[in-house]
Parts: sequence; structure tokens; C-alpha cells
Amino acid sequence: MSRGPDLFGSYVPGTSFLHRAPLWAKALGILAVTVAVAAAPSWPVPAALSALLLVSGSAAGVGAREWWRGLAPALPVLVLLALYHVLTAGAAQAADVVLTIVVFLVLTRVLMHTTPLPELLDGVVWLCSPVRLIGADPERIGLAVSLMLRSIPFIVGAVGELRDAVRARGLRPNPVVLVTPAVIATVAYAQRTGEALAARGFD
Amino acid sequence: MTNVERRRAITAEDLANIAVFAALTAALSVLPGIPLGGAGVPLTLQTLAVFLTGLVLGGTRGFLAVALYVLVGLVGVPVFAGFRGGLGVLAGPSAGYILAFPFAAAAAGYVAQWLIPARRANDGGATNARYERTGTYTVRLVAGALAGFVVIRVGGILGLVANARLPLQDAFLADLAFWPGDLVKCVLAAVIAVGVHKAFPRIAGTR
Repeated sequence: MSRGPDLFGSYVPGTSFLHRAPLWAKALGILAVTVAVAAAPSWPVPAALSALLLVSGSAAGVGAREWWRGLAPALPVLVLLALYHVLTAGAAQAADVVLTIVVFLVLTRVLMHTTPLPELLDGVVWLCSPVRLIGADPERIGLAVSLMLRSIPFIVGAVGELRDAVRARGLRPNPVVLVTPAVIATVAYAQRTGEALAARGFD
Repeated sequence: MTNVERRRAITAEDLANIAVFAALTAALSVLPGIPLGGAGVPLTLQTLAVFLTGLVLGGTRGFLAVALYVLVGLVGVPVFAGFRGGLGVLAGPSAGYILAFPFAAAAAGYVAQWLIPARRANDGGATNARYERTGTYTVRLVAGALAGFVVIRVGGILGLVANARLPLQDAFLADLAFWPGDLVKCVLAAVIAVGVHKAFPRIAGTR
């Protein structure tokens, strides 16, 4: 069991149509789905889009296990929501609410399966380029993103070590005792990182 | 403004703090919860990390750090609670909570800065020490965290109304389930922030 999040995403290399589509085309596709769902009068639209995405995702190689991994965490909430709306407003509204959420879960799976995470992050940094207008530098957002991703394993490790230390001494895991040293280690790490950036000519 | 020599609004140290606290928020969100007290209910640390980031970094840098965390999560890095991530979160019932996080960190930070002016004066911790002696330092940080708590309630309830299509009243009742845990986390975040300020008096001073 790994302790940290899977920072590489769930990209699986392939040669399908969706794998080869450029990022801007995928972005337009996402926009189109969002507009269609937002403008849809009732549940058949999100249902049809979910089915379409399920078929095209499966064609691009998303397997049953991966679909399940994407949908399972949301299942308890979806069941609760479905029950609530069936009881208060009827089955049609329940289907509309639940399927609208499902469309985007399926869409996320397809996107993550067919697009490498670094490409997505580059796309977001590009989307941030209007920050130039307020005098900020989009390159710095990219730098912040990579510094953040690089730091996660260090911090997860620091908290995990403290947890083990507390357990080895037979103490009760108290959030203050666990988190305070981890945050202090985090701040020290941030200061070292800041000094390293300054030493490399970053003003 | 072309010939005016201006200092960068975000220094190298600020950028490092923002990136590393975004990572801390991610780490505390995905780690399994800590069993709390006698009841032993596992306590996830996602909102704790949001309050803490605001209290330690202040309003502006706290906002940027948590905004970076949310941005990276929406792109698809699984940094939200339960290893979730991706654009689909925006359509889910918890979208309001996640989008409220940066503003909650900002509210916690600005209110704490307003209540503890020493954090701007940067007087080497003398004022902080005075507040500590009078025992109100922690109370003031709790007040800051509570401002963040209110922002999360507003955002979360609006998200439930928009995405889960609950009537306002039912959204409020659903949100009520998170109050006890989040209130505990306000106090915990303040206690932890006091420890961090003691270890690094300088970090509280810059902005």
C-alpha cells in the first residue's frame, strides 16, 4: 500500500482516437458537454451523454475496474440523493440529479485515461495566462504546481513517521501531537526551498 | 509603471510557502483520519489544513496556497479527501465546499491578522508574547478559524442547493452534520498554529 496519492494519475498510453486528440479539442468537448448538460431540460440528455462517454471511453481502453474505481467513491452519496429526490420530487428529478453528476465522473475517467497528467497541468498553466493582465507571471504558477507536487511525498512521509513514532510509544494518536511537528517540519522545508530558489536567482 | 523598479509581490520565500502549504493541505486531506477522543470517530484533516494554512500564512498567501491545492485537484491529481480529484468534482454535491476552501483560508488569515496586529508589525514576536501571556492568542486564532468555518458553511450550502438540488432548508440540515467535527478542527488548527508561530516567529510577520 502506498501512502501518498498516485501523482501520475491513471493515464494509460494508447493509440485510440481520444488518445490522439489534441488537448484543445478535449477542452472544447468538455465545454460542449457542460453546456449541453446545463441547458438540458431533463434526464435523457445526461443519460445519453453518459452512455456515449462510456462507449467511447471503453473503446479507448477504460476497463470495468477503472470505471468502478471512478464511480465507487461517489456511490453512497448518489444513492442518498436518489432516495431523497424520489421521495420529494419523483423519479424523473432523481434521475436528472444523479445522471448529471455521473456524466462528469465518467468524463473525468475518460480524460484521465487518455491524457498524461503533465499535459493537463501544462494546459491549465496556459489557461492561466490572462493573469499577465494583473501583472502576474503564469510561469510562476507552473513552478508553484511542480514545487507542490514535489513536496507531497516529503510531507506525507513526515506525518507517517510521526504516526509510527506515536504508535511505537503506545500513545494515543492526538491530532495536535501528530500535526504540529509535521507542520513545523513543513515550514522548515518551505524555508529551505525558498532559499534554494533565491540562490538560483529567483527574485 | 515601466521605469519604476518594483519589488515582486510574491517573493521566492512566499512562493515556496504557498507551494509547500498546498502540498500540506493535500497530504492532510488524503491521509486516513485520526480517531478522536472517546468516541473514536475518525477525523479527516482536510478542513483543519485549510484553517491552518490561513492562520499560519495569513490571508493573501493562505488564499493562494489553498487555491493552488484546489486547482491541482480539479486538474486531476487525486488530492481531495478519499483520493478523489478531477473536473467531475465540480458537478458533485461537495463542489461548494471545495470551491469555498481558498476563501475560508483567506477569511481565517485576514481575521487573525486583524485581531493580532503584531503579525504585520513584525516586532520580533514581542506583541505575540504579550498576547500569549494574557492567554488570548489562541482565542484570537480560534476566532480567525471560525471566520473560515462560516465561509465553508455558506459555500457548502450553496453547492448543495446548486448541485444536489436540495431546498435551502434541507441543505442547511445536511450541512449541520459537519458542524461538530469542523468546530473541533477550528480549535485544533488554532492550537497547532500557536505552536508553529512559536517555532517560527518570522513567518507570521511578513504579511
